[in-house]
Formats: sequence, C-alpha cells, structure tokens
Amino acid sequence: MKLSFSGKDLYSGFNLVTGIVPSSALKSVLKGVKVEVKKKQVEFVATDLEVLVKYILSAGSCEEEGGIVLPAIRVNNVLREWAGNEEISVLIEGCNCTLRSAGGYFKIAGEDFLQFPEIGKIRTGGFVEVDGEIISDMVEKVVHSVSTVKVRSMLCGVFVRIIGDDMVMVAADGNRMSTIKRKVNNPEGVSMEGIVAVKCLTFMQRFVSECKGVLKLGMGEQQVYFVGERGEIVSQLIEGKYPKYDELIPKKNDKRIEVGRNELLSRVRMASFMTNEEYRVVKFVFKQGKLLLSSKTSDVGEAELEMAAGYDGPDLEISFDPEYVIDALKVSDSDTVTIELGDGGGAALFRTGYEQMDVIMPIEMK
Amino acid sequence: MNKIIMHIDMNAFFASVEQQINPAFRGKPIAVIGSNERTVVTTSSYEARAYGVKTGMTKYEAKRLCPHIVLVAGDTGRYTDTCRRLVEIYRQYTPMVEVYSIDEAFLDVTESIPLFGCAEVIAKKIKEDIRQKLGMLTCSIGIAPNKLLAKLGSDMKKPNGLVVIQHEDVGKLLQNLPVKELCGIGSRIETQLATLGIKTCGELGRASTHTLRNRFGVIGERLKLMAQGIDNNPVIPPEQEPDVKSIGHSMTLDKDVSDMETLECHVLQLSEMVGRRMRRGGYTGRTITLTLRYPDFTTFTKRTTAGTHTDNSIDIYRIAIDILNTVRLQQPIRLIGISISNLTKNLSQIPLFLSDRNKKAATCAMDKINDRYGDFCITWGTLIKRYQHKGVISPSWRPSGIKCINLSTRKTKK
Repeated sequence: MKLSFSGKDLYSGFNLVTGIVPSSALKSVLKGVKVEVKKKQVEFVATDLEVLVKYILSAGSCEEEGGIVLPAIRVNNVLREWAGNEEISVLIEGCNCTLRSAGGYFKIAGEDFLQFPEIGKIRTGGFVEVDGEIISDMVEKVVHSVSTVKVRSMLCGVFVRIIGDDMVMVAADGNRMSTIKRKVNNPEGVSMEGIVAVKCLTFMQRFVSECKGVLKLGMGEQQVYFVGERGEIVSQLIEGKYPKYDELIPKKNDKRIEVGRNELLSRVRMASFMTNEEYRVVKFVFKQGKLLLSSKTSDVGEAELEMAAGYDGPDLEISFDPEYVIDALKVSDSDTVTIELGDGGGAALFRTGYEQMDVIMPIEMK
Repeated sequence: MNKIIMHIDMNAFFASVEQQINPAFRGKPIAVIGSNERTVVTTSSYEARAYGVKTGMTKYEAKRLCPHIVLVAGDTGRYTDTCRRLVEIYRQYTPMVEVYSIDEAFLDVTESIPLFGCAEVIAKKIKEDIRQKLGMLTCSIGIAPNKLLAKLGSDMKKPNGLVVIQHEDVGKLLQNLPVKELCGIGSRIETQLATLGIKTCGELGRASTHTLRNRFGVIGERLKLMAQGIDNNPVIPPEQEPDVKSIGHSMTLDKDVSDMETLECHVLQLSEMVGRRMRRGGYTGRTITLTLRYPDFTTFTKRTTAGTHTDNSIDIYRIAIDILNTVRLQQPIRLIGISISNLTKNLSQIPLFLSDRNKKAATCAMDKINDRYGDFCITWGTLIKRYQHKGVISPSWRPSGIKCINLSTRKTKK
C-alpha cells in the first residue's frame, strides 16, 4: 500500500497526534501512532488510554485498505526533518513501513494496527456546534483555576455545562473559581454536562490551532467528543459530582470598584515581588478614589503601590494570594475590571470580561 | 558588660520525680524505662548508678547489674509538668530563660544582679525554691561568663553542686581539661582531634586555625574558640526563638508492622499530632515528608509538595498515605514519622467551599475540646484503639510554643 503526502501536511498531522502519546506505556503499541487507510482516507490515531486523538488526511488515489502502528517519536523526528519537502511517500508492507523523500529513505519496523485500542461507539444525546477558537478561548480563561490536588479528582478538570444555547465552563480549586459563558449553536436543544480532563482540553486547544473551523461537541455519560472536519478527540470524563458553582458566586457583595486591568495587573505583579513562597500575600486597601497595594515579607522586603480606583465607600482592607489575582487578570481581554466585595472575610468577585468572572477567596491575617 | 550565665541541670531528673511522687521509691535503686518491650533505661537514680546502671541499657542489663532495681515505666506528662513548674521558678529571677532540654536550662542573670546581690545568691535561692515547691529534686548549677562554661560548671559537681567559674580562672581550668568535657564535642570529633595529637582544651586552644579549618571546615574555628572558653551564643528565651522550619513527629512501634491497615492508623495518629501542633502555632505547610525505618535501621524519607498550604490533619494524612502507597515495603516497619515543612505562619487562606469551611470549624471545635480535656479526647473512630506511644521525650521538647508537645497519655476525666 503506497501513499503520498506533502511533507508539511504529513508532519503537521503526525506531530499533532504524537502529542498525546505517553512517554511510557505498558503496551508498546501505545507508544505508537496508528496509521490506517480506509474509505480513501488516512487516519492517524494516538491515545494514552484517557484521551484518544484522530487526525484525517486524504489518501489520494490509494484504493487499498490496511494500516500499521508506527513508533511515534522516531517517525515524528524523521518527518520534522522532511517537513519542508514537497512530497513524502509512505509504503506500508505488513508491519514494515518505508518513508521515502528527496535524498533518501527510512525503513521502519512497525506493529500490527489491529492490536491498537479501538474507540467504542460514540454514545451521546446529541451534538452542539461551536467555533473551535471560541471554545479554545473559553478553556484559556478558566484553566488556571483547575485544582492539581488529586485527592479531589472532580476539581482536576473543567466543568462544562450546555443548556439551551449557553455553554458554561467552570474551574475551581479549593480557594478560587473561574467561570465563563458563551453562546453555542444548539438546534436540537440538547443539554449536557460533565467534568473534562485538562489534558483533553489543552490538547483540544492545540487541535484547534491546527484545524480551524467549527467543532461539534457531544457528551455521553462517560466520554466527551470533539469532532472537527480534520479529526476528533475522545476523552474519558472525570467521575464525580461537581460542586454547585452558581452557589459559590457571591450575590450580596455591595461594593463595586472599577479599576484599569493593565494597571492593576502591573501593580499586583510588582507587589508580589516582595513576597516569597512561604508568605504569598498582597494587601489591598481601597480608599476614596484609590487602591493601595502592599506586601511585606521578612528577609525579602516590602512594597507599597498606589493606583486610581473608582471607589467612594469607607476604607476597606482585604488580602489575597497575588498569584490568584494575576492569573485572573492575565486572561482578561477587558480594559477595565470590576471588583465586587462584601466584607474583608468574604469571597471577592472579579468581573474580568463579558460573562467572565473569577471568585477569589481572601487570606485571613492572624 | 560581661555576661553572667547560669546553667541548671536537674539531677537524675525522671528518677527523682518518680521518687518524689512515690515515697516507697526513695533511697532505693530505681530506673525509669519506657512501656514497651524494646525499652531502655532513660534515667536511673543515684542509688542505681552505684551498681553501674546507665542510661541506654536494656532493662535486662539493668536487672543483671542490680537484681533488686525497681523498674518504673516513665510518665512523660509528669516530667513535662515538673519542667513547666521549674521554668516558673527560674522566671522569678530573670525573664531570660532558655529551656535547653526537659531537665536543663540556661539563665542570663546579668540584669538581675542589682536586684539579688550576686549570682551565687540567685543559685541558692533557686535551689531552695525547688526544694520548697517540688520536694526532694536537686540540681547542679554552673555559673560562668557564657553558656559553654556554665554548662561545664554544672557538670563538674553532681549531684546538688554549685560551681562558679570566674573569667580569670578559665585558662587554668581548661588547660588540662579533656576536649570531650566541652558541650558540643562528641566522640567523633574527639577521635578526629586525637589524630591531630589534640587531647586537651589547652592543646586545642593553641592549635593552628588553618589546620582545624582544613579538618573540620567552618566549625574548626569555633572549636578553637570553645577550647579557649569563648562562646558568644546568647541565652534565647522562647519568645525570641527563630521560626521553626518544620514540624514533625515520629514513633518507634511496639512491634514491627507490615500490615497496611495498621500503618495507615499510625499515619493518621501522627498526622493529627502534627496538624494539632501546626494549628496551635498558627502554621500551615506544603511539603509533607514521610519517614520509614526498617528493623535493620535502614531509614528513608519520601516527600511531596502540595499545591496549597494546609494545617488540616486529614489533608496531611491523605498526602502521607499517597506517599506510603508509592513505597514497596521490603521489610516490616519499625519506625514511622511525618513532618511538614515549607511553612508559613499566621496566614490562613479562606476556603472557597462551604464544606471546607465547615470542616475547618469542626477541626477548630475538636482542638478546643482536646485543649480542655486532653489530646485525643475527641478523635476519629479509627484512632479509638490508637497506639499509646510512651516513647522518649524529644530533645527539642519545650514547655511552651510550637515545640511544646503534650506527651501525657492519660486522659483527664470530664
């Protein structure tokens, strides 16, 4: 079976799926990329048994069907060198593959493609459609709040809920939460929700950057599917019940302060220079028309910074882990940010963009 | 201004406390031991010492030397309580009290001289106060211009001694003194010094700084100063102690354990002990270290750094269990320990979830109950049959602050 591709197309597809190949696996076949030809299409498939990625290229005039599992890293290294070549021919003979291009060839031992794990039948109540770049942007804006503590596995993913034409993404660790809402095309009016692993979502972002266009999103009881024109991603959902995120959004914060996003980001970052790993806290003091930021750490030093703020209430003091505030502001596209506060001990709400917010719990100074 | 430092060393402390509490033990050879099979003599009375009984002997060795010796299972709570009462006495004469160990303390009495006359008067008053308030406990006191010499002084006359080392006598005193008599010079350093032909403090004080630095590194110079009777270390009262770097507990188990369920139970108990101390001191930490020791004394540690700081016993337990699960045990476990480092003080991140805030409030309530009625008075069900650890008192134990560990295994009646 002989196939032919442009060097750029073959490398970009193969390189994309190689990204999911685990560095170590119990079965050697999992350290490879399955190349399967069927219905005049070539599928490149890789999986780490949690996330499965498929990328599709045209098989051209090849009428035969069959496949091979190729060692991912080795072949990817070859294709990277030949990415600029006009043509690369791929000859598959049983479990051997010959890659040939201008100036040479590689004969590579592969494995039986029938040994490669199959994707089960997609079971979902339906699909919604959304522009890949929108969904990728949503992930970007919440993923910083995902927990890394494995004990609470349900917080180690992004909660995705679709109701009507609204899609909400939520991420939270034990101290902060980020949410964003966007519109989707949901002609069938399907509702779905689930906790999607970060690995799947960050891979989806990479997929979207390679394959622009509309993505179809579907969720079953245990799996999530992203289907695009050039391929698909299937991932296991994280088991568990996600906390009721809407109950965590403070509703009674009566103090609203508008501040410039860039200025606040810069000031918080500067104040954080005077903190260290053991003492990571920046004090925010809101006064008439201004915000004072200060940090003080023994053996490091202290800083006090001032900036304009749209605040006319009584003096208000609250302290945060600067990393939390910086994370929230970094992903904001807005020129201004609205901070909604109750008292010094309650949750602070940072409205950082359209339908985009971060709930950040303060630090209590004893 | 020359300092006047006092070192107070309680004589045969644990044994004396037991003899004070139980008159039947008075005048008899007794040895205080732990409660388990692996126990050794922690202290013996002077009557037992006359038979050659020494600290560190097994109870069988002690019996062999002194067949009628009375072996008393130590009650650490009694000793820590007595230590607290001793510190109260010391504080009547100076606020500059550094508890060096459960039976030793340094006092800086420099500023107290105008009030009491001279250091010897203070020492005699302290001895009298101890006799009046704590009965037959005796102590040896050394008075000198610094901590090193004060400690040397208290060691020179035991029991019930009082030695004053004047500045002008230091050179003569140290000239022929064996180096091992100085606090801080152990058998290893003594052996290394002997290879350089140095056996006395006089010889060490005259040795070339260059030679000592080559052999011992940075402490070489300090050794020379020590041998000259120079020690600039101040007496540090607890409120001036630097912040701790880690908080931990370990326990040698009664018998070697390989059963995971039992090990998990010990990990939970240690996690609670560590968590309690952290919360009491206002600390939270991120790096949890698990220490395991096999019966052949092979000891190893594994650590994990969590994403956020915690002082919650269950969080510490879960992380420690995760670490334990990564270890393929090759032998049963003799000792298990948990410590937490990467500490931060007086900062408390308020949790996002109500359930976490409730958990925090419940922990706080448990702590209050245990503060009032005794440790482990209220605890998790799995710890009802918890390990009654009556092990040795850590040298780092202090009567107050973060190093204060409630070692009493008795529960106060409600």
